[in-house]
Amino acid sequence: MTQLQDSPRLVAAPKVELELPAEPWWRFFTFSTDHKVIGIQYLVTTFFFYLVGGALATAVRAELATPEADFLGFERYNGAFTLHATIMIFLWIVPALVGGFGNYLVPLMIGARDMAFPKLNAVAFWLVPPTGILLLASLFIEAPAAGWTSYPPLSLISGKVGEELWILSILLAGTSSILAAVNFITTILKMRMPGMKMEDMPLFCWAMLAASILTLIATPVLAGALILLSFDLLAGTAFFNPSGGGDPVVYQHMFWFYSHPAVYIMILPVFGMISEILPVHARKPIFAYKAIAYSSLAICFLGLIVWAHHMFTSGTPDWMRVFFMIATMAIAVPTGIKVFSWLATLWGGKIHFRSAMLFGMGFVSMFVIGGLSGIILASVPLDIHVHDTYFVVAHLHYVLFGGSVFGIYAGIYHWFPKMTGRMLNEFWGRVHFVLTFVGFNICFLPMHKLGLMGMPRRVAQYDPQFADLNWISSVGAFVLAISTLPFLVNAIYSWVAGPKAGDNPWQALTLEWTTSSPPPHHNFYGDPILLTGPYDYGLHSKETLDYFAAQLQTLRELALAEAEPTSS
Amino acid sequence: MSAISNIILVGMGILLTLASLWYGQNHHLLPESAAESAPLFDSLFNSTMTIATGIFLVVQGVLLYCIVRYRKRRGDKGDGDPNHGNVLLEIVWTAVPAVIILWLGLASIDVYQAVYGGTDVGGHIHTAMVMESSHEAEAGDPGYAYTPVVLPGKEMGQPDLVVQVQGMQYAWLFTYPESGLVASELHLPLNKRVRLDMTALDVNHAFWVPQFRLKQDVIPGRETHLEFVPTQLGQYPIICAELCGPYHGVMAGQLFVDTPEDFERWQQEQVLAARGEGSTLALVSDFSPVHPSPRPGSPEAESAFAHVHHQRLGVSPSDLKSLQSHSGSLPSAG
Repeated sequence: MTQLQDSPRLVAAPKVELELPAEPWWRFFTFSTDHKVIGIQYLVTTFFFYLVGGALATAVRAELATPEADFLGFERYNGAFTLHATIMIFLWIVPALVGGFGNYLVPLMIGARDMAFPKLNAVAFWLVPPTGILLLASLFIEAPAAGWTSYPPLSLISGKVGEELWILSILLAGTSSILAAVNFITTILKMRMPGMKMEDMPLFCWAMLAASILTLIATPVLAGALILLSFDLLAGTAFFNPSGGGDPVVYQHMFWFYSHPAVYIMILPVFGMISEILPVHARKPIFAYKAIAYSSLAICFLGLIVWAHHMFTSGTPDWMRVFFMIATMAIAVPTGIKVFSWLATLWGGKIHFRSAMLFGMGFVSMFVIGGLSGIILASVPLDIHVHDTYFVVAHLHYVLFGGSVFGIYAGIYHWFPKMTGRMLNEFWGRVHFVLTFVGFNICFLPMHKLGLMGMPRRVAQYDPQFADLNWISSVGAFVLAISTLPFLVNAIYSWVAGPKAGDNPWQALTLEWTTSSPPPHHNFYGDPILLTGPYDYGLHSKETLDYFAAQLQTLRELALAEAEPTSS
Repeated sequence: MSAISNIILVGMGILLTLASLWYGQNHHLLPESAAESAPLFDSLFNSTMTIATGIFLVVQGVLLYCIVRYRKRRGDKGDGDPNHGNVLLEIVWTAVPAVIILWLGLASIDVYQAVYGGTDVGGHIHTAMVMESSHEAEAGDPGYAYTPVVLPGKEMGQPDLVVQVQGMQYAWLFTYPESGLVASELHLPLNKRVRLDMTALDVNHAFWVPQFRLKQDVIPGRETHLEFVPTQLGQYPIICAELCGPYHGVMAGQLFVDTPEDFERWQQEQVLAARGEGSTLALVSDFSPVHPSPRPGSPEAESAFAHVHHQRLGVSPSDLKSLQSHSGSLPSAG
């Protein structure tokens, strides 16, 4: 095959293999071992839980619209925010990013035919629905009401059934995460197509590698904490129960040893997705590829040694407070590298303001606010004032909603054509973005001041001096709730009847765009070929790219033509 | 780059610095400060806000600039500039945040030492923000030696007043060991060093006075401490900041900072009133109020719970007597 002048890579002649076309729609309801089916199963299931968690959040904000506890009442309020947080973390952000996008994209991006352990992959997914069923059942039996942190001794006295349901569901979710992590690490390290070095991988794969390492190291500690808590709850042991000589602070250490890294498990894949989306829609190579890749690993390492910054007021010793403050602050450096590199990627580009790009840029903008408030929280003396206040609520939502959820939306708008073969409607995508962006900021910006002024979190009733800001925040929450509607309608309608997408509607250069939309069962028609680097925008002439596309088209037609007689 | 664009860039840098400095000092995000350590907190917070505002303006400014300047023009089907790195730039934007973080970390340690004293984190740390009080701490002045948690080998401070604090669902109980007074309100004399010895009866709570910028978890089974000097007369809310149950949001106490004379008068009135009849606010306890936490849900915990709620709500003298007999049944730590 011809080697083109301006191509930085060899174009090898691929071996064409026979592949059957995609299976029918009902495979999404089966125990499929196809990573793409599992990815979509994850995304759809977790989006359902996002709607449930969002409904609970709206109920929480409805309660807080007035200072009195007059909507949900005290007990139900605690159940609502506990379930809201648990669902959003364990049934939406983590499984949507790792299970959904990770599963769908990683094998495609590295030119693999599937994940390393396809059956394990299916098992990991099928642990998610029981997790959800247990948690939602607790809504009707007895809601866990000790917050998503579930600190003892409160969690030991606030209702055994609800608490135990909560523990069991988190153990299932954790098991699912660990299985997925093993699968991703093996897939990324061992299943890359021949000729693809680590430095040739798309940045999303680097981010998934870092997130999976974190999951594998941290999640078992949470499981340990929860099993011990379960013993205290059901068997009368006293690991964490002070009335029997246990230490509740030990639980906090174990809980945060997982739950702080969990923040990075929730944000690293988004970092990766943003690193994919910005170059495509800005038509520029990602700026500082290596710095972004290695900063993911740096965040992975540092993320494991910062957990005690959640415990600056828990009576931790001085040396520990100072060590964890410095470690926490240090994370600002690799994170800063990423943010500046994204800005440099936009600089000098030709930015197409499609919905994916709007959410991608919205992510950068909002995440910076979350990062800056994070620095305030890292500083011990400053954290002591704002710990457990609405300032923290504001910060974590800027990171997890302005960050992770904006990232998930960006990802859906970007890869929907690949996943479904159809385009989403751009107009409704923009309406969705504007409503989300405006609602989000109205909802969460005032919380910074509320917390600094003296409003604690997790309260159903509050000082009337905070009424105005809370009312504004609740209005924002309702706008945010409404903002999901245009997306929901758009996604369902477009999946069924949207215009056909074609293989590569964004003219992107990563491998997943070289196959059909949606891709066939084993991803590629014949062996995948690495035509260009993942971010070589502006490096090839239009003729070269057209030539690549034509080559791929020919290969596919060949493969399909040969497959035709066997399938009929 | 042309001279004009250099001038524009420098001008924008100056504007940005001025805007950050102004907002760092004028954000009105904090309540009034009413304790000796609060201005230290405020000064660190203001510095951090200045830096944060600067970074915020730079990032959002660049983003907006890119949106306007580098939007795809109609009919343009080409790609952007294929620039994929710049080592010098990358070194700069790694080094600058690292230096900022280092400075902020050192400043935070300094304020932490000044507020909490006695912190030995492996040597003496000097920065531009070294404050007089931290010099005292380094000199080993016991008046400022303080640690929020009792650790082996650590010296406690020498406060003018010690108050024992008990947190319980959903109230605070304050005991003045010198007079034996037990109250549901915390009265403190102005400009005196106060130490709170805190424990919880049932679940975790957190003692927070936003105007003092101080917070400490109150944990069953261990004693935690807070030490401060109130510097403003007035009434301040005591907020429980750690989720402690469904009525967590209504677990609020009141802190009064009185002149020393008013404080003495209040204490005497309460003691006399509690010994006589008609007091609904305070009672004199015959037992040592520092005792092991009763098991949650046990009769002891419940009586302590009832005790403080009755005080808050106001009860008749006969109720008070029955309460005293209840509290007498609490075990003493000796």
